Amino acid sequence: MKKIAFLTAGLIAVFCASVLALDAKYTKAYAEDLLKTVDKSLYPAVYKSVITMTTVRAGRNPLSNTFEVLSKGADKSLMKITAPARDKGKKILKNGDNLWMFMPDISRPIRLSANQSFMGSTFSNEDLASSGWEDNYTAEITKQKDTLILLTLKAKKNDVAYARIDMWLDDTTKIPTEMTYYGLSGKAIKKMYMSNIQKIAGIMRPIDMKMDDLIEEGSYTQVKLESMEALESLPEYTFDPTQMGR
Amino acid sequence: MKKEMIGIALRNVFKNKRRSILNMLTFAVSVSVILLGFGMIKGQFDAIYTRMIDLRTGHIKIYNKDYPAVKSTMPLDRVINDPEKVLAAIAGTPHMVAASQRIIHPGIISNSKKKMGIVINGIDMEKEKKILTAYDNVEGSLLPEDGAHVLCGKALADMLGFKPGSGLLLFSQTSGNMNNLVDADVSGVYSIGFDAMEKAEIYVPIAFARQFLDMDNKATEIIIRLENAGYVPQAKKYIQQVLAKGFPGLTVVDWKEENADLFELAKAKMGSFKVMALVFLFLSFFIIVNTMTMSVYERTAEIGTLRAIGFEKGYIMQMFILEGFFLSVLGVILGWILSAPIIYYLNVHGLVLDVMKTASSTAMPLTDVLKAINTPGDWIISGVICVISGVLGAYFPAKMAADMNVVNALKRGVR
Amino acid sequence: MKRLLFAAFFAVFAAGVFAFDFNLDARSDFTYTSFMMNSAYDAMAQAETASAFSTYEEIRVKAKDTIGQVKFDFDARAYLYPQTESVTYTVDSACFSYAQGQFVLTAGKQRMKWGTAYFFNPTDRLQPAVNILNPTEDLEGIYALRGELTTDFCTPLVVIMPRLNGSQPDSAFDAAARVYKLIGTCDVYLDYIYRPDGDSAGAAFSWDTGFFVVNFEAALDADPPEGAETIQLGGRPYSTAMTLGVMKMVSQDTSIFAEYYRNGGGFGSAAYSSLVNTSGIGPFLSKKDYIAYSGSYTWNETYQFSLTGIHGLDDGTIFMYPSIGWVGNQNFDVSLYFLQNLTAGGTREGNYSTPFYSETELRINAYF
Repeated sequence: MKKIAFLTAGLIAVFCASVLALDAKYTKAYAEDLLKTVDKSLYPAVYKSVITMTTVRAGRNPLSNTFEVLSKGADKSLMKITAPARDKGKKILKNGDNLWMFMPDISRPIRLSANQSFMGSTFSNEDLASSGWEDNYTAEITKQKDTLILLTLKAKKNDVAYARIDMWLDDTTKIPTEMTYYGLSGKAIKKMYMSNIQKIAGIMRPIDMKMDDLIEEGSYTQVKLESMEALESLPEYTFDPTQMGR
Repeated sequence: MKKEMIGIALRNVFKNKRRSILNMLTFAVSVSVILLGFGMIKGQFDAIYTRMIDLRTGHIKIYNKDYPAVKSTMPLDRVINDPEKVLAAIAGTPHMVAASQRIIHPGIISNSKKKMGIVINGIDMEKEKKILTAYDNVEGSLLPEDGAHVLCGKALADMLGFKPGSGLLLFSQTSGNMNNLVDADVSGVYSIGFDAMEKAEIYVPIAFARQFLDMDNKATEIIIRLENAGYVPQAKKYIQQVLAKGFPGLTVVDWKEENADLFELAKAKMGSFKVMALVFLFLSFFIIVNTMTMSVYERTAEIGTLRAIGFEKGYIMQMFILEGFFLSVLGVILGWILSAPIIYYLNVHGLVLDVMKTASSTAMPLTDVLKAINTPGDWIISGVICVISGVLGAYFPAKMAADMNVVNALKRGVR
Repeated sequence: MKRLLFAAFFAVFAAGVFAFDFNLDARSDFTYTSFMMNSAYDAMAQAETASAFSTYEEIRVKAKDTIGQVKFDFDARAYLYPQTESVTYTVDSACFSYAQGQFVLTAGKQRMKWGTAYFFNPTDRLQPAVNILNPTEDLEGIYALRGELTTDFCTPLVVIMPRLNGSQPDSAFDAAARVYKLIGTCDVYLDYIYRPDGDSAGAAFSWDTGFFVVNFEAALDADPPEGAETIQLGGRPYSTAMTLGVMKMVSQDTSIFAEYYRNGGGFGSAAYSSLVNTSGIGPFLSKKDYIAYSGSYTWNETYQFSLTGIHGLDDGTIFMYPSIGWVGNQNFDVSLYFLQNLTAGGTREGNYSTPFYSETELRINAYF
């Protein structure tokens, strides 16, 4: 009997070790480097892309839009709606704390209040702009399952959107497959799944993303990257509201 | 002479009974409308103010100086840094019943199937019980000192299917704008019969709110209750002095300033009622102008005769004005008598209306029983206003009568 | 006329063949009007046939193309009126723009809508005025040459507009200049329009206060009408006009607007009466004080409800404009509008500018 108990304990220990033990290369420095790579793999600094976003909220009709996005840094982006046909030609410009909408039949920018969620979706504005993770979070590899590793990001200060982000990613592709966003209390608020990895704008990126709202069961937002092009630069007038009609 | 004149005027009042009764009735209606209207509006707003003080605002609040300007956004960066010290410093406020610190911030509540926007009120339950009546009617239990427990309104509980003990999710953004989500449970469900508030306001222990919103030992406001609203100026002055000495970054706001929007509404309502009262007064004014003019025409010969036998112009004029005065005085007395039982009933028992049930979903907390408030001043003012309009209304026909050409008047003959 | 039509269809066809981005919208519109039989109706009936029931079919074509630094933009509408079997068309824009660095030059027929307010835009003096009873209706552009330079400090803009109808042979063009600057969360615009027969200047801002957006516009116009409120500048009188409004998007589904408009150059009641007495009809929105408000709510992304109200404060004219729409399909929607003129009697503007009691309009839109 004792033997069996001992054996079992041994087996459990071996099993745990195989799951929990990390390769020696997964040091803190490796993790920090990885975060930089991931940061870039999601969004280039300046880019043009087409995305389709579908928002599903419990008890409501799903809402789907396709945008052409021109983005520069963390705080400048211009989105042109290309589908549905009814909304085609509408544009949304974000420049820092400023938000404008342009409708072809009004043909001038209309200022909106900036503190609105991103078109009513589960994504917040900071989820879609380039993340700036490496400035705000420390990274550490905490788990490993074959080539999948868990990168745990912890906020350096209490003034960023999430206290912790758990990111499962494939060490061979350096692409995250699943991310969980935690609040200050340590409870998960949102969960993002990434799939369909393809080479787009020069490097491998996830094409499909799904963000689950953990506050409201059954509510989620799906984002599909239709195309993406990293750009050298974009002229400033792109983000000038007086040029929204162009 | 004077006595005689009063006699003639009075006799004239009773001469054409139908016309005089019509005149008196219009004054009676005017005086009743003014009395009732003032009473009901004063009563309604008094009830609302009382309810507001009892449910939401207390008598006095202390804020960071920069807070009131942006109150609607409920920020966490314009706070009272040392609420405990402030509470200790104002402990000697005259006629204070209790004072308590709070944290107010918007958030989202969810039963995990459905989420709703709410306002999170972090409170010190033991002290708050002495300040507001919102916690008087609670199913389940009041809040403990700490822990993720929520006191929510009945309307919200109905919408999300909450009962005491139900689990829930509470989401908000901390003072550093970090997202935060916790599991919590419903400790109790409060009912106040005011849907808008029951849906929007939830209460949590302040110790929990501090942890949840990353607030250290700060508070966004201090709420104070006095023995009654009459002590507000005295208490406010005292607190102002205390703050000026030790806490220059803070400011005091009384319940009137806190409910400024309601005061504006009350003023607007009073204003529109005044327009209505004016319409009634004009109506009585024109009716008396009309009927008196008619009586001047009818009595042309009589006036001519009086003038011919030596009565002065002024005498004729006074006679008609006196007639208007008597008509309005009698009308006012009639109005007072007719409306007295109604006013008594409304002031003492109030109005119990079904409408009040549906009104619980309006933006104002209404009581089930609406009582009117009429002071003796209202009676006197309404009466005086009506009599003045009666005398004014009689002035023009009186002048017409006095200015009559004696010969032409006599020509028309005595009927 | 035929040649023009042919040109239009050719443009449409060419756009369809060559343009990278091509769009077609169609609309069927059915309107029932309950007319007010007064002098304004008589004056109106002289100019056009007014029938209680009217309908039209609109086809709208949009084409856009970008080649390198050059962008082309074509936007036109054609209408078919079944009652008269007539076809008309309007080209809203036909222009190209060229960008060099931060400078953009646009030439051709283009839309240039100025101002920050939603209903009343005193600073919007270049384009034909918007129909306030339907502020999202398409607007025809103007022929102009426009240069705009985006800098870190501000965005200056210069517009030159040739005079096409040549009413004054000695003045071949109008010109305008505007400066835009973003200050914090506030857009600030200053503009000046030069016309040989009377210049105008304006200022506008749109400020996101966090709680709601505040919009303000003020304008000065030379050559004021008689009886206008004026201020003297350089020895010339200028009439004044301004709008103050607030806008809030309460949620994704709900938005509200409210605006007050003071038109210093507007008619006083006496002047309006005498105008009505001589011509039988009075222009719309030509008095001094107005308020307008509008709220809209979309339920479950399927049904859209809105209510717009316009009040003429000078004479108590009231228009109410509720609408209900079904927007459940993204390529097709149906809307029912009901415009009620709550004005009758007196010399009210509602009587003599829009001689109808109510107008019920059914619009069916398809988007391709």
